[in-house]
Amino acid sequence: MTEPKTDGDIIRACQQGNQVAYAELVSRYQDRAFWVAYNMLGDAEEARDAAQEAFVRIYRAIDRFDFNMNFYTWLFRIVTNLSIDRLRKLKKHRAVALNGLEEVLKDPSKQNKPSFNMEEDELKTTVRSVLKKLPEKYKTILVLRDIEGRSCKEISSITGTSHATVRWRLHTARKLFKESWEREENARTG
Amino acid sequence: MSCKRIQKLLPLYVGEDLDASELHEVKDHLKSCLTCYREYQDHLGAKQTLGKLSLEESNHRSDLSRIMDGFTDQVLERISKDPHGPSAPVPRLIYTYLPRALAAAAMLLVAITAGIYFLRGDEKPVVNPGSMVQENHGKMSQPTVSPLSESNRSGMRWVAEHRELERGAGNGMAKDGEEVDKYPDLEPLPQSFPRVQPVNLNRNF
Repeated sequence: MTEPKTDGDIIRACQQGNQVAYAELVSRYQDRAFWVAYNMLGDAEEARDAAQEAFVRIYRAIDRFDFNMNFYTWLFRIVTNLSIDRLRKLKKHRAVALNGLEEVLKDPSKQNKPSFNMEEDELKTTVRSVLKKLPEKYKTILVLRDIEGRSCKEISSITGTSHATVRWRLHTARKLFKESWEREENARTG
Repeated sequence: MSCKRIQKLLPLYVGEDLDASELHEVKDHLKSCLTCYREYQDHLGAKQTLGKLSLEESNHRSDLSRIMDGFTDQVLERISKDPHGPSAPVPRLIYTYLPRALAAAAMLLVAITAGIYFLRGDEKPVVNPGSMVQENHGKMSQPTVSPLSESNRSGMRWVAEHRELERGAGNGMAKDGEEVDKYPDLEPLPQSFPRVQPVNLNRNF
């Protein structure tokens, strides 16, 4: 039985223009990329688009890959940055599109978007709602640490910030989440 | 460690994100402080609630398969059409970037040339008395010409005249009483220009 190829082996093949090899890399990490984007964006379609864009950009820059770095660190960095960019665009569009909201809701082509709506319980909906309200840099830290389970050292590499900055943001992010969560719970239970 | 300090560390403690000594101190404090322990439980509850989102992956495997159907094929399709991929031949890169590089270089050259022209265009060369050097036998050397603005000429001229007075080199009067132009190489001052009276720098203040 042959050993599975390492990420480094696949990347070297991609650098020679082997797109079939890249397909294997995409298959390995597409679900992870999707979940990171989904936890940041809260929307399945947006998350899929962000994940796809991340893989396209990675392929463009594959010649410059630093073999001292883990591939997933690079992938996560691009996915989180793209997710943050989309969040900012969505905020702007939401502000502009308020007047046309009724028209959007009536449009049948908008009704068939992929989603996880079937059995998502109320608790997770509230958690996502609280997470959504946090500033992007704190949301990123919470997603990577408390949902994805990455270490502070990995998060430092992914976000390009120092360990002290990661620690400080994690402290603030958890504090903000706890306060917002308690407010939501108090409002819900009366 | 005080309760205030402990409570500041609790958000990191719940994820074991403190260093070993801090972890140990917080753990010890929580054994004996009920207030801090309750605060710790609140932080832990919030963190565990957030962590439930990570369980969605296992709960939604079939949904994810549906959403990610065709994902890899679409990525490959996009990169095969992308002219910026790593397998793009070198001549294409030259055709893409060479015209831009040439245009940028031309603009830079024009900007530098224009900058030099405007900087040197308005200035007229005048005598800089500060460049005069006292040679042997007390004779003045030929003044060097350096570009000074018109506004500095009067001041420099006054300095030069004052130096002559200080040295007692004469009042510009010839032996026969006729006034001699001490600076024959300089253009005469305009008549409307007010003559500045020299100040005695030796006076006591």
